[in-house]
Amino acid sequence: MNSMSATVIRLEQVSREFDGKRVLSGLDLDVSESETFSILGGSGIGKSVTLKLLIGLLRADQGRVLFRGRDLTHLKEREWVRVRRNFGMVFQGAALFDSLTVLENVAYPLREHLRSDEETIRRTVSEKLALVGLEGIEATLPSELSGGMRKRVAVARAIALEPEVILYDEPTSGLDPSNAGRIGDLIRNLQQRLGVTSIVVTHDLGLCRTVSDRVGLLRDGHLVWLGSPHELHNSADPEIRGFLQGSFPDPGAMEPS
Amino acid sequence: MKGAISAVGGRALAVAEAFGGLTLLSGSTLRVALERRLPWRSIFRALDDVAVRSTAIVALTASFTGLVLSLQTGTALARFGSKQYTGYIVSLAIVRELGPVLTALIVGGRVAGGIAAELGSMAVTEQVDAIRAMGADPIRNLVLPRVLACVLALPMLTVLSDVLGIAGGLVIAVTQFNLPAWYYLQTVALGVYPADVVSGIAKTVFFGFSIGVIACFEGLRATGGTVGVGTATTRAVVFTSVAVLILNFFLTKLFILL
Repeated sequence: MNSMSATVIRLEQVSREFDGKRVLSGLDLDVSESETFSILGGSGIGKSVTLKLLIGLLRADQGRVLFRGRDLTHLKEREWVRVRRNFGMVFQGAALFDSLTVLENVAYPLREHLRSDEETIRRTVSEKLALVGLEGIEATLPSELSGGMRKRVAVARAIALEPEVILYDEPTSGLDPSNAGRIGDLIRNLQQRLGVTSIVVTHDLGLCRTVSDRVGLLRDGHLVWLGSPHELHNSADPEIRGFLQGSFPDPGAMEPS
Repeated sequence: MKGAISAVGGRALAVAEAFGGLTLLSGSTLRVALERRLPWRSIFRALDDVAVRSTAIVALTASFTGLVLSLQTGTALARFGSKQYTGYIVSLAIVRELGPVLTALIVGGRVAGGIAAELGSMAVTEQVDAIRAMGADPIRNLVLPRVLACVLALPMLTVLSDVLGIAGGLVIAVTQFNLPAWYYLQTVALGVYPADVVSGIAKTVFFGFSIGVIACFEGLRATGGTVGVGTATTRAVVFTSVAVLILNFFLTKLFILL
């Protein structure tokens, strides 16, 4: 939104192949401080891959990945560990640990990185759960929660260490419209209250409109269109109209999960 | 013909890749094992699963192996009028081979399947990625506790197995072949050297390590949903059994040379 503010994340000419299929090719991306950037696109075109590249869960075949000007492209797995503390990621299927309670799930990054006493950890977990509108469910197991609640616990876990950047992978997929709306409000709310930079990967146009400062349309491995949600809605660009009206051609490539 | 060659080549590549992956995982596991802060919580949980919950099945296997071995050996020796040597043969066979190998196969089958299924499910539901995304190390938090539990549990279970196997032999020697219990025990004490016991138990440390690493490796590389988890589980059970049997030969050869 604010083009003057500092770039937090930058991808330069990033390419990535899976089994000979090119998923990303020459992707450029700039995300500024405190903005919410949505990457919009159909399924199987590399949206999740893009998020995973940002935190080194996958590596780019070509191109560079930068965080606050620092080149992360060739970091070793052990060096990534420290960088990833600056990020919180909400996975598509929530990816909560099903053998652990909600408390232990949200406490996981805290126990990993901070040497806090049990009391502080419990307090922090309750705070984060309150932020996502879930209180008093610490002792519950993830399997006992609804899909929407699991997503929100996943958000609580992602913000436990107060990261600078939150990455959302299809945050509304598999949710009914009212739960999806609640997740949208939550993303907006967190951005306003915590001032975090967010990247949302989605094919949900409604969500895109609610939360985004800027939207990029991903197709053929790179962003083919960039603008505000308002511009997206009013665009006469055939690519955009195609996507909005659901006549986007099948990319024919499966996105690895 | 060309198809056959490329199939063989593809298979060879896959095997080489698996060996490479296993070696890397073994190395990383050993490296994190040397770090100062170990995930004790997870280690104790894994030990409970691997050691405590395998006790009953190991006890059952060992006792019945002892019974049957004594029965077979005693019957065969009786033909030559040498049934008094039953204790020697039963105890040596159990302490050197059957105790360690059967324990490893039974525990391996039980534990490797469980580990691969658990880690496989975690991998396909992105829980392993979630651990990495939180700046944590899946090898330290998931692999190390399970491998360590296998390495610690197998020698302990083998001791149990040795004792119960020899005891099973005693029951048959006394009831079927009318050997006095003190005599059976004396032949055991005289026939089995400490080196026999040690070499048997030492082997299980290697068995435990390979069971843990193979099971974790297969689990972590599971892809493609529930089918992938099933495949990983099957592979883990098959490959750990094969690894135990093959390793056993080479370790036995090595320990005899030493």
